[in-house]
Amino acid sequence: MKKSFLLVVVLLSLTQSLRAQRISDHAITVIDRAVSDELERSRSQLKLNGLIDPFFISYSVSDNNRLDINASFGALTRSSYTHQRQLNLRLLVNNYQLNDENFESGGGGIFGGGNQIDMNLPLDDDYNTIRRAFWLATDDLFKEANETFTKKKAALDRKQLTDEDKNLPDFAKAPKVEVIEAPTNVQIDKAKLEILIRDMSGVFSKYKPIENSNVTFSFNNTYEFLKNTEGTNIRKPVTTCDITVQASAQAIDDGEPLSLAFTISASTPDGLPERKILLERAEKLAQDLVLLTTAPKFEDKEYTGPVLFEGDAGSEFLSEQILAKLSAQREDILGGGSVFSLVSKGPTFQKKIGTRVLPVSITIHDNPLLKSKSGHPYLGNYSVDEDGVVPNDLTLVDNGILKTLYMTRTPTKEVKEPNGHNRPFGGGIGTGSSAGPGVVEITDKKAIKSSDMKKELVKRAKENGYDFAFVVRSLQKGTLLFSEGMSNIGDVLEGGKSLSPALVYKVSIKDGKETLVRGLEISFPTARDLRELITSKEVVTKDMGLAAGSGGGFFAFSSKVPATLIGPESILVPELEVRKKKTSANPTQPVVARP
Amino acid sequence: MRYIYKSVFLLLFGAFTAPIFAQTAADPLLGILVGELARENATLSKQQVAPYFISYNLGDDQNVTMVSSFGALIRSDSNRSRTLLIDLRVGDYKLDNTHQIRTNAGFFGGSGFAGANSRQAPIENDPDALRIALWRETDAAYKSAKERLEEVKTNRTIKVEEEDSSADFSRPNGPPAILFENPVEMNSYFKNRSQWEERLRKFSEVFRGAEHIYEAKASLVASIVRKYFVSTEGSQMASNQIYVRLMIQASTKAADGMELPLYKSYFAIKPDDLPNDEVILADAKEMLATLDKMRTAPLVDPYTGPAILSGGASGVFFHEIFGHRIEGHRQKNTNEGQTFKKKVGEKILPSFLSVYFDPLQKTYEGTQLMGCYAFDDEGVKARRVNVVENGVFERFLMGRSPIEGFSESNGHGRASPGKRPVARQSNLIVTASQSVSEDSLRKLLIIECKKQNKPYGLNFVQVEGGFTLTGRTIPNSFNVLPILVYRVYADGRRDELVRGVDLIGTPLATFERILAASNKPETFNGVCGAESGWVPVSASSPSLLVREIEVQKKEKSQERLPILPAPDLKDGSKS
Repeated sequence: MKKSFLLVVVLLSLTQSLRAQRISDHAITVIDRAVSDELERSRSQLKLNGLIDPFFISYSVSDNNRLDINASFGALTRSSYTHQRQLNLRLLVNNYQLNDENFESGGGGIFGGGNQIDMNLPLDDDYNTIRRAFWLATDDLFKEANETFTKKKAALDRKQLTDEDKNLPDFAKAPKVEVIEAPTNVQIDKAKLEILIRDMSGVFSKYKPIENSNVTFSFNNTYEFLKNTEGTNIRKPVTTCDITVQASAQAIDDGEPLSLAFTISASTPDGLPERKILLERAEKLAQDLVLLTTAPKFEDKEYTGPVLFEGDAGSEFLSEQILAKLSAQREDILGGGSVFSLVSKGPTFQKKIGTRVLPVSITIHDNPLLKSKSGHPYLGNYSVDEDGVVPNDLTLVDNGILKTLYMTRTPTKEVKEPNGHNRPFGGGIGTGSSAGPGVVEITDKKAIKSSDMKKELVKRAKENGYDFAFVVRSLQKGTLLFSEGMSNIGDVLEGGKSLSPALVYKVSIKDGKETLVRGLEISFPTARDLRELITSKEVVTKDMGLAAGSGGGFFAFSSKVPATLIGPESILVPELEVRKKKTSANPTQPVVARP
Repeated sequence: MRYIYKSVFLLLFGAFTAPIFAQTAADPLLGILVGELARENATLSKQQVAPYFISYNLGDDQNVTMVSSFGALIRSDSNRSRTLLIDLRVGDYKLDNTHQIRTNAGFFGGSGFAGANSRQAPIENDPDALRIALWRETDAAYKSAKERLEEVKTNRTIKVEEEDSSADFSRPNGPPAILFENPVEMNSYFKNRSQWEERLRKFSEVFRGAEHIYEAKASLVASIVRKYFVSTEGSQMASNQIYVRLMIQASTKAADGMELPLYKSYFAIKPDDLPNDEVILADAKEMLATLDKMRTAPLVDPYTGPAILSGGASGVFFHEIFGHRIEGHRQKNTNEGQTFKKKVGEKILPSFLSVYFDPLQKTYEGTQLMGCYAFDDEGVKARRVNVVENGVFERFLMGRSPIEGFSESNGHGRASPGKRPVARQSNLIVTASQSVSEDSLRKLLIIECKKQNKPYGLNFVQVEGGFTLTGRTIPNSFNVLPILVYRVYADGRRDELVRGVDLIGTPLATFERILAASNKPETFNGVCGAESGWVPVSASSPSLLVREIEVQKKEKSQERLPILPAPDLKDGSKS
């Protein structure tokens, strides 16, 4: 009796949890026709006496299926499946040279931003309602663009600009492109994924010093439509899948808040490592965190010497310290930018084209058209970018010399032409986009073997008169402490000034013995430090969110784009400053013991 | 003394833990909360600064949301989340960590109201995971309570003596809340989702192809909030707050750019109790016809004179301009307007009107009321509160935050999951000891017009509750938005729809000018939002005749009408 009951339950959950997440052919036809027809009507008829006509309109639709599963200490805290459709449009008035973009009129709130509108579209394949949504949004945007343009012209009249600033076009022309790709068909076993995420979070239950932890999973399966008045017509799938594990604790002796995290990304759940490996990684993180609670604080004098970045820290270093600096950003020549643009400004390579930014042995390519190496598709692979521009093999750094930057269709003084690198943040929808990487490959002709990297580290430390050196294995901290009483807000803000490593080992010169240490920070590498990097011959290929736009700092978490990094496994920076972390008062230990 | 109190408390606790364990089979969560609270309190009570009160509020929120627009579904999803809120108090009933810290109120109010610790909790009944979450949040709550009590003490030393010297927390004035209702799962409560999606499509499809209708939506929210409440005073409660709300909304624009919205909402405890399709479709069609008239209706002229507020409009009126101002805790916060603070015992309404709030009353004149509950969110037993008797203001709505002259809760401490409860409204009911028929009320309006030498009076058929600002630095005026108003001519001409009506003047003055009430009450059910989140409420009132009301033209948007016609006008429809 009991058995048959169980069977029924299992069958039920199977039918509920297995779902094919694919947009239907009928939906594609209806959306495509509605978008085309309304775009054509807007292009040919949207005019009003006294208003400047639009010269460019683009319509896009994202059909997004999203699965989120969160768990903490062995129990789900969230499991939700959502399907939404969103429209996005861009409308520019006047002409390519001078239009309403690249001007923050102050009306855009703290996030400033251009005149793009996002809103929900019907989930039904309803031709009329889709057109209606575009109709009203276009009307709003047309009026707003005219208002902005008037204000911009007034601002231009008030300012004295250099010829270079004056002649810089607002929007780059792009050729007509037609790319039609089929949607990705992924079978999602929700029940199985729930078990996986629950089990990964359950790993932390047995480690008593851990105060908080969670595991979050998300899978976005998006099908995008893009059409513009230049004749470009694109339909393509975008899929991203992430698992983030984080945990926090307090140091036993002084209560320092400690946290560790890692994120694994892939295009689809099938591309994630197998269950055993994921559980092991969670276990390793838990063990490292527990060790960290009793690890000694860095109490030595300041250290100026070599630092080795290995494993996760290696790719995080490349992402934040090099790749983030390769994204072009339009300078706000009229001033009065938004709060957001103030915060996100950091040192980039933008003004360094034609000069050496890395060792002469290092070359950086980016070719988003590369599909895959060993079966699993690269996360950073795409055939056309968010602007409808086709990328090709781009050499960003050639033998140490900076050649170009990642570009959108917004010209900058340094690079005026788009190169197909307008990338979506996150992978969800409506989260914006920015110039950023795709499938990036970093090669170094003078790379040395991984096993020699540590020798090199020791040698250089010795030359500088130290009997120890540092190896960093993770730069990623969780956000748990942050949400809990803001206890490491200082850390986050400090993030703009120095690297705040999560896992650092002090290596003894004498016997090579490693000791986990805490309570230290590392200076950001200077332009000079970056020209002297040493990298390992061993190469890793990693799907990950790579920083787009000037990295580091407070908003770093929001400006990652799905990408693939093929690059050295470890990086040695010959000279960085390591110092004791400035700490505010630490929270006291919990009064009651963990249950 | 302290010792005696504690032993009494422990006895109570022991006595009330027993019944709960019988329920654990149906729902183990309550037992887990009780167990962890006892474990935490055992250690915390031995600390030098020990909590004198701890409660766990856990809200298990299941909801389904569906929206259709012009006949197409634009949203249909369901969600489940659990939010934990811990109220942990150090100090004593008289002065504790929740005491207001007085600041020089800037734009952001600086109410100095103590924040509470709220956090997402596991949605599965895994005892370990739940206990860890409870443990972590209790620790955080304890630490911040200790810290804040120090700040409170310093603030009291450096600021002038407080206007209101009442205590911070009232002692329990009844037995602890003991209640166990069986859990309700969304799947069994709200069935046939695809049928409902189809119905919603049908409701908004009424507006499809209609010229000049820029927004038309039908939306449905089914909500089951299971509220768990346990406290060191012995409360052990698991109760359900369930409702389903259907709403039709549509808007048009007048040629001058003025936005003209209309709404119609339906509430029920069970989905089956909602009106049938014929009723809703008829309402939607009526809305469409009214919008069409509103678009070309004349703009209102500035006017001072007599008016009728329909029952629904009066209900919203009382809820917004009276109800929110008699929520007890507002009389204490020095940044609040405190309109009624000094009015206790005074006549504020004509003597034929009385007002009461009753969370225990399930229906009124055959209509279900949405502001019902057995115990409030602070574990206090619900009860009827007569706030105005024969025109005289008697008392405030009270949670467990005492104010001068009112030291006890009257069961109106309410909140949505994750928010700290404050005094909120329940079922507001305005009654009249003398009344006339609706027809007679209209005749009285015309008589009043003639007496005042006015060519017409106004009839407020529908008003929308605006956001309520009760603060001291904000003008203390109306915040109800009339959306459907007619001119009633004294010379017998047909009633005329007007648009752009904005109410001005002060609420208290309006109350004094009520002349008569009808014998046909109407009920307005809604969800009310304030600092402690969204809570379901109702307001019932007869139609009221007011001697004098002042209106002006509403500020309008300067946006012109869309340049191109709608793409789906009947002839253009292709699909």
